Amino acid sequence: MQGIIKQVGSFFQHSLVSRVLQAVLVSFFLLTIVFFLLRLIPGDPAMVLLGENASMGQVEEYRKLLGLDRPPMEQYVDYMSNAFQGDLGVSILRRQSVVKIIASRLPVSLWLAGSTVAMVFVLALPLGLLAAVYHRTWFGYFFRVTTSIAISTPIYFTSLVILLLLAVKLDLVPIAGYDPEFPKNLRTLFAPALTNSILLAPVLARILQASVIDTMEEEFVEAAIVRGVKPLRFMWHYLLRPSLAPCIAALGYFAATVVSYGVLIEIIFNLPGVGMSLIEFVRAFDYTAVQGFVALTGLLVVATTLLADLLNAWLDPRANLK
Amino acid sequence: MSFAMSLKTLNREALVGILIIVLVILLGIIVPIASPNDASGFVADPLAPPSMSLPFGADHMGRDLFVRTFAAARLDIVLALLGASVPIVVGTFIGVLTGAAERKIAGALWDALINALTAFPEIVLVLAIITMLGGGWDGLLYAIWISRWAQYARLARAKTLKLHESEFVQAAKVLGYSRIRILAKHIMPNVYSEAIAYGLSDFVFIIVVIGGLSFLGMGVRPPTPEWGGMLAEGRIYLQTTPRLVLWPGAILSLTAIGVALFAQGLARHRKEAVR
Amino acid sequence: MINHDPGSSPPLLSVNKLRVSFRVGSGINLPVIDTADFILEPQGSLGLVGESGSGKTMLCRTLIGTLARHGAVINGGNITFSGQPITNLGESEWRKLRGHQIGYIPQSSMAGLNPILTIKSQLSEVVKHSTGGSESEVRREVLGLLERVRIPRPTAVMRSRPHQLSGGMRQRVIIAAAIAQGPKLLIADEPTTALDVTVQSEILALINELREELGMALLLVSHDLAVIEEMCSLMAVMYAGATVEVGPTENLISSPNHPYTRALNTSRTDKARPGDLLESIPGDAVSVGHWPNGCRFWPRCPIADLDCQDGLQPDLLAIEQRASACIHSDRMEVTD
Repeated sequence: MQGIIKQVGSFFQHSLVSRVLQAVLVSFFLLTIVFFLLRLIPGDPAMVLLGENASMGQVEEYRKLLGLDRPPMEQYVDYMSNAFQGDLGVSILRRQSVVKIIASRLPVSLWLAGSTVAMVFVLALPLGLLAAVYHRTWFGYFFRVTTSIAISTPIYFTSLVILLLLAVKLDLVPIAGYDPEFPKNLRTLFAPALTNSILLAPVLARILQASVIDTMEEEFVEAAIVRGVKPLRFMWHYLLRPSLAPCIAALGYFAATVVSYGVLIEIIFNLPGVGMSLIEFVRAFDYTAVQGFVALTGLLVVATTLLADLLNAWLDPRANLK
Repeated sequence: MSFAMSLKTLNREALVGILIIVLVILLGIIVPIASPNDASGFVADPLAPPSMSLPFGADHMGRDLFVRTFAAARLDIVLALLGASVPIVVGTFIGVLTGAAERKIAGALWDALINALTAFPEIVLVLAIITMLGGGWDGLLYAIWISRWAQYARLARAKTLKLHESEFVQAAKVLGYSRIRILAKHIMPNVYSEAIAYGLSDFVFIIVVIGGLSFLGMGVRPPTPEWGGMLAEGRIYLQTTPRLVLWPGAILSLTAIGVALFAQGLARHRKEAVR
Repeated sequence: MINHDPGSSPPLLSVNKLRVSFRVGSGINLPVIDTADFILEPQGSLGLVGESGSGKTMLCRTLIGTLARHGAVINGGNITFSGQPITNLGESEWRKLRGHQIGYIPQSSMAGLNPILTIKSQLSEVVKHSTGGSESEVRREVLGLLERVRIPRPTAVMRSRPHQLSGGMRQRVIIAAAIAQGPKLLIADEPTTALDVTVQSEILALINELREELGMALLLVSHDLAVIEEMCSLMAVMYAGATVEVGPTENLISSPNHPYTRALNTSRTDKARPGDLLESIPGDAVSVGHWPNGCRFWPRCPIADLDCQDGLQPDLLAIEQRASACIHSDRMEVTD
């Protein structure tokens, strides 16, 4: 009996089903936290929102909109069941589904995220690989110092410096704004994506560097050197591919960071994406919209983390062995 | 190990880091006191160029940019210290307690809760909490505390679980030491030293978040000199008078880089000491 | 140094007063080999014995030219291979030697193969050099290689990945890759450590067969005297980075001239009969960076005296076919 329990236990720890179940559990807690976010408002949210001079009728209407007129337990059950059906609430100011508002602003942010990812990969893969191979030389030292400078510089300062160089001094890119048409939008996205990459590429490159250094210590690498595997094949199949797992595992972190930075970047470069919509919600005290936004981005990170987990299990046969 | 001793054996990165931190702190203390100009006083024409009496020139309202930059240093560093220390102390304490309570299912649920709390994109969660609580430097601090403690709770819980398996804790159990004594004497000091090492790099992040939220207008409010706020105000003059952005931005970045170098040097030092 | 008969053809491999050290910081070196001396004739076999940390693995890395990757450099002595000096070869020159002239079997069968590539993919890397050929040609060559290392159902094995094979199978594949280009010297670093005893003897037998078939010399690293005794006619004993005794295996085992060799011999488990008192070597092996002055074995040596504790590690002193670094080797028989 004990053995069976142990087997079931290890199944739940390692199988794919269990990973999905864990992600669902995390999402449940996440939505619960988001539900309670609204209770942080000191006093009556409707009063706070409308001010002292509001009529009783207006206040009542807002209370109803926020769902505050019903008992707390009922509110909670409602919120959770709606959330699991994909309804994350209604903006109290615009009287529109939060998910819909965000979806309408999504294309800009997706373009930004996409060009960031492309740029990060182009920069980080060769950098991380070189930094690993030459980690004992001056390049390793140079890499360590420059990446810590790039990572620690606040993104809102990096972006202003980039604007100063590329837009003001060199006049290569527009100072702000977005052109929604396809090839033209890349010009407007270049500076913000570059800013993002200056902060994110060093992080990825460092994870890769550490991982490749570990891989280089492996016996199979030594054996491959001795049998004289061709350089390109060696780089890809012997150094990079076996070292990708930690990079993939960090995808959740990257998703969270891209969203966080996106908020600042979209404001600075005046890109009408979801990040900018969050600032609009915040400035207008649109409590429910902010709440919906937090839930959505939190769920996005949980989903990315799960995806990364599954991807790693699929890519690395050693992981399946356990 | 005395402090002077450990200073001597530190590597170059850590030393450069310390040097930068000390320099910024000293200037942050001395400049606002020694200067005849007040951080909020209008002392010159708007955008007056740098001169002997105004080393960084005047800002868009004719205030002394030099004094404002270093008055901001004082405020930002104090805020970041407050922002970082409370989660370290509270989060680690909670983490040790949850790590010491040997309950399987509750532990799994707790892990899920912590994973949920740490999943939110940081700036988004901080912004949301500030929206609910109200802005200003106090709201900003509360938001940072609420969003950061879970990191430390997770770290401390993992470390505590590991220490519980370790030989010296097992030995202490066999010797009949009480749970509380084991926790207080053996586990807490170990976990806290690790949490502080992590907190050093977290400090960089928090100082950046404080500036970022103020940059968005949700943190410290003008006219109080604060780096992020100064960047937001100076941004409009980027094309004509970039120094309004460059000076506070450079000193802010320098501070963050100094702490990061120190943290990184220290981490390497610890790793080499183990070897 | 052991004398090599000057009349005959040059030895295949000659390691002469070799010193290797890690580069710790700028200008700071941490010696790991100091000094190694031995000679290996063409088609000969030499076993390298010693505890872990004695420098065996670093010696292998020196001989396959991968020291730099591990942060180490040669800082003394010389090595010749087929009469050519290989002490200061550049990477491109090493590339010509490795695989074609010197084959290498790494330490653990678990980590010796790339976990994400199929066996075929890993073996075709080596046959492509010689065939340069078409898909079907490569396939035939790989199959031939697997058959040469006596792998049953080679077509199925070709398609699998390392984790789907047993430890013995993996080690056969590793051997196949090492001998594919017909090297004159095969270096095997603890090739059977992780394997079951039965599999171990199969693998050793396979190495012996292939050695005869291809006329390879063998440099076998092991901490197991029984393995060395079975496989190698010559043996070199390493302690704390130095070769302390070199000579014909049977002589070294029957009448050791160095107390460390004798200690290794008496602590063997395979020759013990029930009821025998197994002697273990007193004290712990000294690690890199903590070598004592004088003969590095003296703190653990039963016959050490004050003469042993000063100066440098004594050089090997040749007597006929063998050499020992013990300054009191004349006392060995007395204390036996």
